[in-house]
Amino acid sequence: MDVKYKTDNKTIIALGIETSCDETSVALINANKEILAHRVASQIKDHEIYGGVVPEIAARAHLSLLPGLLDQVFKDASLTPSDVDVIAATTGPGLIGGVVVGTMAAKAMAAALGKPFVAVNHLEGHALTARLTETIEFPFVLLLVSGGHCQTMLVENVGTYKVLGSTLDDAVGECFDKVAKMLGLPYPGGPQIEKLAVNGNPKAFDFPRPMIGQKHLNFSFSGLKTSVRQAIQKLQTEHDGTLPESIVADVCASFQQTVARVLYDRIKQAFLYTAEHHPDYKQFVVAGGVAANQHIRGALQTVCAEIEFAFYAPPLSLCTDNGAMIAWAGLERFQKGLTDSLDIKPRPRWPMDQIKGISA
Amino acid sequence: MIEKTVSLSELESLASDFVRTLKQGDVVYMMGDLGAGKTTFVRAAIQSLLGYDEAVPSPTFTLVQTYDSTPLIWHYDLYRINDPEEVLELGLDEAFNQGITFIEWPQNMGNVYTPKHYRVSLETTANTERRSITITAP
Amino acid sequence: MILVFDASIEGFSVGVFHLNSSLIQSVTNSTPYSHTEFLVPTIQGVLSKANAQFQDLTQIVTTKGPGSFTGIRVGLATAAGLRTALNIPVMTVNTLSALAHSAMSHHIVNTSDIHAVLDTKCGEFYHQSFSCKDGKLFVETPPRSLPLKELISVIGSGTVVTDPSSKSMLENIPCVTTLLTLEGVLSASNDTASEDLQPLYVRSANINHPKRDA
Repeated sequence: MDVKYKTDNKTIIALGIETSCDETSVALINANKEILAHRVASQIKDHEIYGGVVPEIAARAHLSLLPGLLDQVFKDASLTPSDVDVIAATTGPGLIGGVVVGTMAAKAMAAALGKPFVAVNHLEGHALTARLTETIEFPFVLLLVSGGHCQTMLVENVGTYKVLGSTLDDAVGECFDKVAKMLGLPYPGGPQIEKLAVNGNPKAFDFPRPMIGQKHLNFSFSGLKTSVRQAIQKLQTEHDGTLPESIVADVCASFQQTVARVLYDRIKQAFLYTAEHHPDYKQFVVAGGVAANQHIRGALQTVCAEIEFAFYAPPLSLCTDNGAMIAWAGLERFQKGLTDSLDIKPRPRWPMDQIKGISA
Repeated sequence: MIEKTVSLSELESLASDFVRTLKQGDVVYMMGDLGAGKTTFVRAAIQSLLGYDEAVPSPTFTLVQTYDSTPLIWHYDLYRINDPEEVLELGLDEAFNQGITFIEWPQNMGNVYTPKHYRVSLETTANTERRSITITAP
Repeated sequence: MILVFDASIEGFSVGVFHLNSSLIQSVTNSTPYSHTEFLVPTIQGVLSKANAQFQDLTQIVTTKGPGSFTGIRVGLATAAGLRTALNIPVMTVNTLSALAHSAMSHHIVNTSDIHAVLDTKCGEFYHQSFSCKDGKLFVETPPRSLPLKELISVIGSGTVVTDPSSKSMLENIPCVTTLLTLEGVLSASNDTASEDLQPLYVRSANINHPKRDA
């Protein structure tokens, strides 16, 4: 079907739908970087109300929440669906059941409204968020650290991402979640560990620092996770199963400190590589849920100061999954003519270097 | 049925050999504790099926990762599943019908799905570099 | 004009109907698991073949399961998007009821004790029974998921209605085999339909004591 693109001067408005993990979120933004409406329904919070700690990952929840959120954002922004110029949704990577819900709703809206559809890679959403909240031009070095991802890349343009290094096994957020689970802390583990680490001694345990000092740019956290698990098991045996709060705090602080040291080292290597091959790249952006951890942020700010990269991080509220970043990535892609046909299939796995760019 | 104790690199070559016989509709349950080597086995298996060294991260967070191949390869990690009902959302019906499927922590799907499956059981041994492995056919 | 589609069992079908329930155009795609790619383009195609536009639609009717879990979500999420864009009502119907109505609309069922049955592909069968009086269907039991043995005892001497993909699983049980038709979906919506978009998975309700064979 032919899609008529707007040619008048009205500010372009984009709708973004994010359903790839635990959050159902919808946003309306415009090309002036104004967030006109933004609703995030965290399924985690729904469960906290009931005192439970169930990671509700059900697509069913996306399906029951999404229609109401769509109605709500149009109400919030005093707009109607026909005011939207481009419709974007996360089509991967993520939990397939949820991705299907957001993708199909967006495709149906695009068809019914006769508006272009943009299939947004969830990671690209994180990668471009800083451009929504800050004035930052391409290129920049990006660290994406979330529950499912840990990688560095050169972001050279919309759709042009060169991966520098990735985790060979676990993602950082996942490592936080698993350590939290071993300690009997609620999900999601990251914020819990950060909170408890405040009262702990970061030098109490000497955990291994995978890959530290190595020239390549990859990450690995599986060995660290195993080592923490062994330490916790040993401590549990020593304390008849239940760990005193002070020891839990020490494990949290030592583990968090180790992760921060590893990320500091890995980013330093990435900067040294970048300085050698692209001496004019002087900006650094951190994105993803783990970027909300202040201790890790601090370590990254330190390495930026040392190697003279400008440090950017989106506000905490846009570090975790949200619809605004999908709307923004959709808008950026739309402005470059990167729209998608309605027969796109959702993808549970979608590496960033397979994203369609301008030259493709 | 295979039953032996192997080094981690032997585990990888065993995985590569094992999957060459798999076909569309086959399901492999991966049994064993955290750190037993389930992801190591699946990574080698998927790279063997693909024929190149694609990155195969643990899908703990996304619960499932797919790899483009014929048939499509589905790698599930159901560690985070607390309620078997949650697996209804993960496209397992499509995977079992159309693909080759590896599932870590299959016990977490309860009896929502009960496909015929190969069973790969891994255990750590006193020697941290070696694993005991048992593979049974459906 | 009414848009009717089903994606809840293998493949999918899409049709547009006049308000008097007469069919204008329809397309069926029987390729399994192709609905995420082709459902929306097929809806566009059917409308275009009918020389109609989305704005001509006044109502949407679709199925909510039981059936393929992925298929159910694809159908309902598509309906959700269309409802937001067009601001028209969406009616969702139970797939088993739609199957029973499909059989009725072909006048091949003429008994009072009707059992709609679909293979769950998880070793059990979705089942719902209806009675038929004066050409009208009445719900007798809620939809359930039953093992074969229990299904046989529930069916008794009633008439089993099933779709071709489930037929082979029903072994020697005599059945009336019918495709799930869009006419059946539309007809079911006149009897029992809801305006919410909640899926009807059925199977989940049966999980009481999950096996943990770690």
